[in-house]
Amino acid sequence: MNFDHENTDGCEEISSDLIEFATGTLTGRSRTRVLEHLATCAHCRSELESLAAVADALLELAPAAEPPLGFEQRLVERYRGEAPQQRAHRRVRLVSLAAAALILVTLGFVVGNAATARDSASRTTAVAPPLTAQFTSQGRVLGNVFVSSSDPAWIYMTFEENNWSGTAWCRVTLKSGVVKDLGNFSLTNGYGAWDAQINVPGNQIATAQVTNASGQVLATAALTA
Amino acid sequence: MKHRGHFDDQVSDEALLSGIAVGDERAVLIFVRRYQRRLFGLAQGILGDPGLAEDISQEAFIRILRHAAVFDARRGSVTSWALTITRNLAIDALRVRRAIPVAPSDWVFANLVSSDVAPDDAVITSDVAKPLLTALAQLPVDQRRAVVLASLYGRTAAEIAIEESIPIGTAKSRIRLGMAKLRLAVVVQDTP
Repeated sequence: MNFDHENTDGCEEISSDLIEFATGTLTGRSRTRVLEHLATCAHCRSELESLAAVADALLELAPAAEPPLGFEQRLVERYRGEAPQQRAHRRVRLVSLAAAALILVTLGFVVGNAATARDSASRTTAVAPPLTAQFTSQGRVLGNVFVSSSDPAWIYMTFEENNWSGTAWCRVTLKSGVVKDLGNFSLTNGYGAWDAQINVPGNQIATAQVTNASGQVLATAALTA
Repeated sequence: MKHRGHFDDQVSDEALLSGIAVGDERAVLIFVRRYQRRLFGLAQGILGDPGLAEDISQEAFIRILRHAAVFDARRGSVTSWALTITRNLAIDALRVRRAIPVAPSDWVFANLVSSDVAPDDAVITSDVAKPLLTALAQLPVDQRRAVVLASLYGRTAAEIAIEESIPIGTAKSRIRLGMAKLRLAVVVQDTP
Protein backbone atom coordinates (compact mmCIF):
# COMPACT_ATOMS: atom_id res chain seq x y z
CA MET A 1 0.00 0.00 0.00
CA ASN A 2 1.10 3.51 -0.69
CA PHE A 3 -0.73 5.95 1.50
CA ASP A 4 -0.10 9.63 1.07
CA HIS A 5 0.82 10.39 4.63
CA GLU A 6 3.76 11.57 6.59
CA ASN A 7 3.72 9.05 9.41
CA THR A 8 2.74 5.40 9.07
CA ASP A 9 3.71 4.49 12.63
CA GLY A 10 0.80 3.68 14.88
CA CYS A 11 -2.01 3.46 12.31
CA GLU A 12 -2.75 -0.13 13.26
CA GLU A 13 -2.65 0.65 16.96
CA ILE A 14 -5.19 3.45 16.80
CA SER A 15 -7.49 1.94 14.17
CA SER A 16 -10.04 0.63 16.66
CA ASP A 17 -9.86 3.85 18.69
CA LEU A 18 -10.69 5.83 15.54
CA ILE A 19 -14.21 4.39 15.54
CA GLU A 20 -14.78 5.44 19.14
CA PHE A 21 -13.33 8.84 18.26
CA ALA A 22 -15.87 9.11 15.44
CA THR A 23 -18.76 8.18 17.73
CA GLY A 24 -17.61 10.75 20.30
CA THR A 25 -16.97 8.21 23.05
CA LEU A 26 -13.18 8.17 23.19
CA THR A 27 -11.76 9.91 26.24
CA GLY A 28 -8.59 10.49 28.22
CA ARG A 29 -5.21 9.28 27.11
CA SER A 30 -6.60 7.25 24.23
CA ARG A 31 -8.17 10.38 22.76
CA THR A 32 -4.94 12.33 23.19
CA ARG A 33 -2.99 9.56 21.51
CA VAL A 34 -5.38 9.57 18.53
CA LEU A 35 -5.21 13.37 18.26
CA GLU A 36 -1.42 13.26 18.27
CA HIS A 37 -1.42 10.61 15.56
CA LEU A 38 -3.99 12.43 13.43
CA ALA A 39 -1.84 15.55 13.45
CA THR A 40 0.77 13.75 11.37
CA CYS A 41 -1.22 11.12 9.42
CA ALA A 42 -3.30 12.13 6.43
CA HIS A 43 -4.47 8.57 5.88
CA CYS A 44 -6.00 8.27 9.34
CA ARG A 45 -7.57 11.73 9.03
CA SER A 46 -9.24 10.55 5.86
CA GLU A 47 -10.26 7.31 7.58
CA LEU A 48 -11.74 9.28 10.46
CA GLU A 49 -13.65 11.52 8.08
CA SER A 50 -15.43 8.58 6.47
CA LEU A 51 -16.12 6.89 9.82
CA ALA A 52 -17.50 10.15 11.21
CA ALA A 53 -19.78 10.44 8.18
CA VAL A 54 -21.25 7.03 9.02
CA ALA A 55 -21.47 7.81 12.74
CA ASP A 56 -23.20 11.13 12.06
CA ALA A 57 -25.63 9.56 9.59
CA LEU A 58 -26.45 6.87 12.17
CA LEU A 59 -27.60 9.62 14.54
CA GLU A 60 -30.49 10.22 12.18
CA LEU A 61 -31.82 6.82 13.19
CA ALA A 62 -32.02 7.89 16.82
CA PRO A 63 -35.48 7.69 18.35
CA ALA A 64 -37.46 10.90 18.56
CA ALA A 65 -39.36 11.47 21.79
CA GLU A 66 -41.85 14.01 23.07
CA PRO A 67 -40.09 16.39 25.47
CA PRO A 68 -41.72 17.33 28.79
CA LEU A 69 -44.54 19.87 28.80
CA GLY A 70 -43.23 23.43 28.67
CA PHE A 71 -39.92 22.46 27.05
CA GLU A 72 -40.31 24.95 24.23
CA GLN A 73 -41.31 27.82 26.51
CA ARG A 74 -38.44 27.20 28.92
CA LEU A 75 -35.98 27.03 26.06
CA VAL A 76 -37.15 30.21 24.38
CA GLU A 77 -37.14 32.09 27.71
CA ARG A 78 -33.62 30.90 28.34
CA TYR A 79 -32.53 31.91 24.86
CA ARG A 80 -34.08 35.37 25.19
CA GLY A 81 -31.97 36.06 28.21
CA GLU A 82 -32.74 33.73 31.08
CA ALA A 83 -35.98 33.30 33.02
CA PRO A 84 -36.37 36.19 35.49
CA GLN A 85 -36.43 34.04 38.61
CA GLN A 86 -33.19 32.34 37.64
CA ARG A 87 -31.38 35.33 36.23
CA ALA A 88 -29.35 36.09 39.35
CA HIS A 89 -28.06 32.55 39.63
CA ARG A 90 -26.95 31.87 36.10
CA ARG A 91 -23.67 32.56 34.45
CA VAL A 92 -23.83 36.16 33.37
CA ARG A 93 -20.88 35.79 31.04
CA LEU A 94 -22.60 33.26 28.81
CA VAL A 95 -25.66 35.47 28.53
CA SER A 96 -23.55 38.45 27.56
CA LEU A 97 -21.78 36.35 24.96
CA ALA A 98 -25.05 35.25 23.44
CA ALA A 99 -26.25 38.83 23.41
CA ALA A 100 -22.95 39.98 21.94
CA ALA A 101 -23.24 37.41 19.20
CA LEU A 102 -26.67 38.69 18.30
CA ILE A 103 -25.49 42.31 18.42
CA LEU A 104 -22.54 41.39 16.26
CA VAL A 105 -24.69 39.68 13.69
CA THR A 106 -27.14 42.54 13.71
CA LEU A 107 -24.34 45.06 13.21
CA GLY A 108 -23.05 43.07 10.31
CA PHE A 109 -26.31 42.73 8.47
CA VAL A 110 -28.61 45.53 9.42
CA VAL A 111 -28.76 49.30 9.28
CA GLY A 112 -31.55 51.35 10.77
CA ASN A 113 -32.74 51.80 14.27
CA ALA A 114 -33.18 48.95 16.72
CA ALA A 115 -36.96 49.16 16.75
CA THR A 116 -37.11 48.78 13.00
CA ALA A 117 -34.78 45.84 13.10
CA ARG A 118 -36.84 44.08 15.77
CA ASP A 119 -40.16 44.75 14.07
CA SER A 120 -39.38 42.88 10.92
CA ALA A 121 -36.32 41.19 9.57
CA SER A 122 -37.78 41.55 6.11
CA ARG A 123 -37.67 45.32 6.31
CA THR A 124 -33.98 45.55 7.12
CA THR A 125 -31.40 46.69 4.63
CA ALA A 126 -28.44 44.47 3.99
CA VAL A 127 -24.93 45.92 4.11
CA ALA A 128 -21.60 44.22 3.56
CA PRO A 129 -21.74 40.80 5.24
CA PRO A 130 -19.52 40.02 8.22
CA LEU A 131 -16.30 38.10 7.72
CA THR A 132 -16.23 34.57 9.06
CA ALA A 133 -13.47 32.00 9.16
CA GLN A 134 -12.57 28.81 10.96
CA PHE A 135 -9.73 28.47 13.42
CA THR A 136 -7.63 25.55 12.30
CA SER A 137 -4.52 23.84 13.49
CA GLN A 138 -2.83 21.09 11.49
CA GLY A 139 -6.01 20.43 9.56
CA ARG A 140 -8.28 20.32 12.58
CA VAL A 141 -11.08 22.85 12.96
CA LEU A 142 -10.99 24.28 16.49
CA GLY A 143 -13.45 27.14 16.31
CA ASN A 144 -14.88 30.07 14.44
CA VAL A 145 -14.21 33.77 14.26
CA PHE A 146 -16.70 36.34 13.16
CA VAL A 147 -15.87 40.02 12.41
CA SER A 148 -18.52 42.59 11.60
CA SER A 149 -17.97 44.91 8.66
CA SER A 150 -18.84 47.98 10.70
CA ASP A 151 -16.33 50.61 11.82
CA PRO A 152 -15.42 50.17 14.57
CA ALA A 153 -15.83 46.43 14.18
CA TRP A 154 -16.87 43.71 16.58
CA ILE A 155 -15.10 40.42 16.83
CA TYR A 156 -16.66 37.26 18.20
CA MET A 157 -14.99 33.90 18.44
CA THR A 158 -15.50 30.39 19.71
CA PHE A 159 -12.68 28.01 20.44
CA GLU A 160 -12.76 24.35 21.43
CA GLU A 161 -9.80 22.20 22.35
CA ASN A 162 -10.42 18.92 24.04
CA ASN A 163 -9.99 18.97 27.83
CA TRP A 164 -7.95 22.18 27.76
CA SER A 165 -8.65 24.73 30.45
CA GLY A 166 -6.83 28.00 30.92
CA THR A 167 -6.43 31.44 29.42
CA ALA A 168 -6.23 32.01 25.70
CA TRP A 169 -5.36 35.24 23.90
CA CYS A 170 -6.79 36.67 20.70
CA ARG A 171 -4.24 38.20 18.34
CA VAL A 172 -4.99 39.75 14.96
CA THR A 173 -2.70 40.73 12.14
CA LEU A 174 -3.84 43.64 10.00
CA LYS A 175 -3.33 43.77 6.26
CA SER A 176 -0.72 46.46 6.93
CA GLY A 177 1.30 43.89 8.87
CA VAL A 178 0.59 45.40 12.27
CA VAL A 179 0.00 42.77 14.96
CA LYS A 180 -2.43 43.50 17.82
CA ASP A 181 -3.21 41.49 20.92
CA LEU A 182 -6.88 42.21 21.54
CA GLY A 183 -7.61 40.46 24.82
CA ASN A 184 -7.96 37.13 26.53
CA PHE A 185 -10.65 34.70 27.54
CA SER A 186 -10.97 31.51 29.56
CA LEU A 187 -11.43 28.00 28.30
CA THR A 188 -13.38 25.75 30.63
CA ASN A 189 -13.58 22.04 29.91
CA GLY A 190 -12.23 22.65 26.45
CA TYR A 191 -14.62 25.42 25.40
CA GLY A 192 -14.45 29.19 25.40
CA ALA A 193 -16.01 32.13 23.60
CA TRP A 194 -15.09 35.80 23.53
CA ASP A 195 -16.22 39.05 21.99
CA ALA A 196 -15.00 42.66 21.88
CA GLN A 197 -15.26 45.88 19.99
CA ILE A 198 -12.06 46.63 18.09
CA ASN A 199 -10.82 50.00 17.02
CA VAL A 200 -10.02 49.06 13.47
CA PRO A 201 -12.27 48.45 10.44
CA GLY A 202 -13.15 44.76 10.18
CA ASN A 203 -12.05 44.59 6.57
CA GLN A 204 -8.48 45.51 7.57
CA ILE A 205 -7.98 42.28 9.50
CA ALA A 206 -6.01 39.64 7.60
CA THR A 207 -5.74 36.85 10.18
CA ALA A 208 -6.92 36.06 13.69
CA GLN A 209 -5.03 33.74 16.00
CA VAL A 210 -5.60 32.10 19.35
CA THR A 211 -2.45 31.82 21.46
CA ASN A 212 -1.63 30.42 24.88
CA ALA A 213 -0.02 32.31 27.75
CA SER A 214 3.43 31.79 26.25
CA GLY A 215 2.42 33.30 22.94
CA GLN A 216 2.40 29.94 21.18
CA VAL A 217 -0.15 29.94 18.37
CA LEU A 218 -2.88 27.35 18.97
CA ALA A 219 -4.93 28.04 15.84
CA THR A 220 -5.13 30.49 12.97
CA ALA A 221 -8.04 31.80 10.90
CA ALA A 222 -7.54 33.64 7.61
CA LEU A 223 -10.18 36.32 7.08
CA THR A 224 -10.84 37.20 3.48
CA ALA A 225 -13.20 39.94 2.35
CA MET B 1 -49.99 32.34 19.25
CA LYS B 2 -48.94 32.31 15.63
CA HIS B 3 -50.48 29.77 13.30
CA ARG B 4 -48.18 27.11 12.03
CA GLY B 5 -48.55 27.35 8.33
CA HIS B 6 -47.21 26.03 5.10
CA PHE B 7 -44.15 28.25 5.42
CA ASP B 8 -43.16 26.59 8.68
CA ASP B 9 -42.96 23.20 7.01
CA GLN B 10 -41.36 24.33 3.77
CA VAL B 11 -38.63 26.70 4.89
CA SER B 12 -35.20 25.05 4.81
CA ASP B 13 -33.05 24.47 7.88
CA GLU B 14 -30.38 26.71 6.38
CA ALA B 15 -32.86 29.55 5.87
CA LEU B 16 -34.01 29.17 9.47
CA LEU B 17 -30.43 29.46 10.71
CA SER B 18 -30.01 32.63 8.66
CA GLY B 19 -33.15 34.03 10.26
CA ILE B 20 -31.97 33.03 13.73
CA ALA B 21 -28.65 34.75 13.07
CA VAL B 22 -30.37 38.09 12.47
CA GLY B 23 -32.60 37.75 15.53
CA ASP B 24 -35.81 36.53 13.91
CA GLU B 25 -37.78 34.99 16.78
CA ARG B 26 -40.17 33.21 14.44
CA ALA B 27 -37.24 31.33 12.94
CA VAL B 28 -36.18 30.32 16.45
CA LEU B 29 -39.65 28.93 17.21
CA ILE B 30 -39.92 27.03 13.95
CA PHE B 31 -36.46 25.57 14.41
CA VAL B 32 -37.16 24.52 18.01
CA ARG B 33 -40.48 22.92 17.06
CA ARG B 34 -38.86 21.12 14.16
CA TYR B 35 -36.02 19.63 16.18
CA GLN B 36 -37.12 19.35 19.79
CA ARG B 37 -38.39 15.76 19.55
CA ARG B 38 -35.23 14.61 17.82
CA LEU B 39 -32.72 16.32 20.08
CA PHE B 40 -34.60 15.40 23.25
CA GLY B 41 -35.07 11.82 22.00
CA LEU B 42 -31.38 11.41 21.26
CA ALA B 43 -30.37 12.86 24.64
CA GLN B 44 -32.86 10.64 26.46
CA GLY B 45 -31.63 7.58 24.57
CA ILE B 46 -28.06 8.23 25.68
CA LEU B 47 -28.82 9.39 29.23
CA GLY B 48 -31.93 7.39 30.14
CA ASP B 49 -33.12 10.28 32.33
CA PRO B 50 -35.81 12.68 31.06
CA GLY B 51 -34.78 15.51 33.41
CA LEU B 52 -31.15 15.40 32.45
CA ALA B 53 -32.11 14.88 28.80
CA GLU B 54 -34.09 18.14 28.91
CA ASP B 55 -31.11 20.03 30.36
CA ILE B 56 -28.78 18.61 27.74
CA SER B 57 -31.07 19.06 24.75
CA GLN B 58 -31.80 22.65 25.84
CA GLU B 59 -28.08 23.33 26.12
CA ALA B 60 -27.64 21.86 22.64
CA PHE B 61 -30.35 24.16 21.29
CA ILE B 62 -28.72 27.18 22.95
CA ARG B 63 -25.38 26.34 21.32
CA ILE B 64 -27.02 25.83 17.95
CA LEU B 65 -28.99 29.07 18.15
CA ARG B 66 -25.97 30.97 19.40
CA HIS B 67 -23.78 29.70 16.58
CA ALA B 68 -26.38 29.83 13.81
CA ALA B 69 -24.41 32.52 12.02
CA VAL B 70 -21.30 30.41 11.65
CA PHE B 71 -22.91 27.15 10.50
CA ASP B 72 -21.01 25.93 7.46
CA ALA B 73 -23.25 24.00 5.07
CA ARG B 74 -20.21 22.60 3.27
CA ARG B 75 -19.38 20.51 6.32
CA GLY B 76 -22.68 18.64 6.47
CA SER B 77 -26.39 19.02 7.04
CA VAL B 78 -28.04 21.03 9.78
CA THR B 79 -29.63 17.82 11.07
CA SER B 80 -26.27 16.11 11.38
CA TRP B 81 -24.75 19.19 13.05
CA ALA B 82 -27.59 19.50 15.56
CA LEU B 83 -27.60 15.80 16.43
CA THR B 84 -23.81 15.68 16.76
CA ILE B 85 -23.79 18.63 19.18
CA THR B 86 -26.51 16.92 21.24
CA ARG B 87 -24.72 13.58 21.25
CA ASN B 88 -21.42 15.11 22.35
CA LEU B 89 -23.05 17.06 25.19
CA ALA B 90 -25.01 13.99 26.31
CA ILE B 91 -21.92 11.78 26.30
CA ASP B 92 -20.01 14.39 28.31
CA ALA B 93 -22.84 14.47 30.85
CA LEU B 94 -22.96 10.69 30.96
CA ARG B 95 -19.26 10.50 31.77
CA VAL B 96 -19.60 13.05 34.56
CA ARG B 97 -22.67 11.43 36.06
CA ARG B 98 -21.85 7.78 36.21
CA ALA B 99 -19.13 5.38 35.23
CA ILE B 100 -21.26 2.68 33.68
CA PRO B 101 -24.51 3.60 31.91
CA VAL B 102 -27.57 1.43 32.23
CA ALA B 103 -28.48 -0.79 29.32
CA PRO B 104 -31.05 0.84 27.05
CA SER B 105 -34.41 -0.88 27.40
CA ASP B 106 -36.65 1.27 25.24
CA TRP B 107 -38.67 -0.31 22.48
CA VAL B 108 -36.91 1.71 19.80
CA PHE B 109 -33.59 0.14 20.74
CA ALA B 110 -35.19 -3.30 20.70
CA ASN B 111 -36.67 -2.55 17.32
CA LEU B 112 -33.43 -1.25 15.86
CA VAL B 113 -31.36 -4.20 16.94
CA SER B 114 -33.78 -7.04 16.40
CA SER B 115 -35.93 -6.13 13.43
CA ASP B 116 -35.47 -5.10 9.84
CA VAL B 117 -38.36 -2.68 10.11
CA ALA B 118 -37.64 1.02 10.54
CA PRO B 119 -38.79 2.31 13.90
CA ASP B 120 -41.96 4.35 13.56
CA ASP B 121 -40.52 7.05 15.74
CA ALA B 122 -37.29 7.57 13.85
CA VAL B 123 -37.48 10.67 11.68
CA ILE B 124 -35.30 9.88 8.72
CA THR B 125 -34.76 12.75 6.38
CA SER B 126 -31.49 12.28 4.56
CA ASP B 127 -30.73 10.18 1.53
CA VAL B 128 -27.79 8.69 3.42
CA ALA B 129 -29.78 7.47 6.42
CA LYS B 130 -32.24 5.37 4.43
CA PRO B 131 -29.70 2.97 2.87
CA LEU B 132 -27.89 3.02 6.19
CA LEU B 133 -30.97 1.69 7.94
CA THR B 134 -31.25 -1.06 5.35
CA ALA B 135 -27.57 -1.94 5.78
CA LEU B 136 -27.97 -1.90 9.56
CA ALA B 137 -30.81 -4.40 9.32
CA GLN B 138 -28.58 -6.72 7.29
CA LEU B 139 -25.79 -6.85 9.87
CA PRO B 140 -25.46 -9.89 12.12
CA VAL B 141 -27.39 -9.12 15.28
CA ASP B 142 -24.31 -8.96 17.53
CA GLN B 143 -22.66 -6.39 15.24
CA ARG B 144 -25.92 -4.47 14.95
CA ARG B 145 -26.27 -4.24 18.73
CA ALA B 146 -22.66 -3.10 19.12
CA VAL B 147 -22.94 -0.44 16.41
CA VAL B 148 -26.25 0.91 17.73
CA LEU B 149 -24.95 1.00 21.31
CA ALA B 150 -21.80 2.82 20.22
CA SER B 151 -23.29 5.31 17.79
CA LEU B 152 -26.78 6.05 19.10
CA TYR B 153 -26.37 5.39 22.81
CA GLY B 154 -22.83 6.72 23.29
CA ARG B 155 -21.37 3.52 24.72
CA THR B 156 -17.63 2.87 24.71
CA ALA B 157 -16.29 -0.51 23.64
CA ALA B 158 -15.50 -1.24 27.30
CA GLU B 159 -19.09 -0.50 28.33
CA ILE B 160 -20.46 -2.64 25.52
CA ALA B 161 -18.17 -5.46 26.65
CA ILE B 162 -19.71 -5.27 30.13
CA GLU B 163 -23.29 -4.95 28.92
CA GLU B 164 -22.94 -7.82 26.47
CA SER B 165 -20.72 -9.95 28.75
CA ILE B 166 -18.01 -10.29 26.10
CA PRO B 167 -14.27 -9.52 26.03
CA ILE B 168 -13.42 -5.94 25.08
CA GLY B 169 -11.56 -7.18 22.01
CA THR B 170 -14.75 -8.85 20.81
CA ALA B 171 -16.73 -5.67 21.41
CA LYS B 172 -14.23 -3.62 19.41
CA SER B 173 -14.23 -6.21 16.65
CA ARG B 174 -18.03 -6.17 16.40
CA ILE B 175 -18.13 -2.37 16.19
CA ARG B 176 -15.33 -2.32 13.63
CA LEU B 177 -16.86 -4.97 11.38
CA GLY B 178 -20.31 -3.42 11.61
CA MET B 179 -19.09 0.08 10.87
CA ALA B 180 -17.04 -1.18 7.92
CA LYS B 181 -20.16 -2.66 6.32
CA LEU B 182 -22.20 0.45 6.99
CA ARG B 183 -19.47 2.62 5.52
CA LEU B 184 -19.59 0.53 2.40
CA ALA B 185 -23.31 1.19 2.15
CA VAL B 186 -22.72 4.94 2.45
CA VAL B 187 -19.88 4.89 -0.09
CA VAL B 188 -21.98 2.93 -2.59
CA GLN B 189 -24.79 5.43 -2.06
CA ASP B 190 -22.44 8.33 -2.76
CA THR B 191 -21.05 6.75 -5.94
CA PRO B 192 -22.88 7.95 -9.08
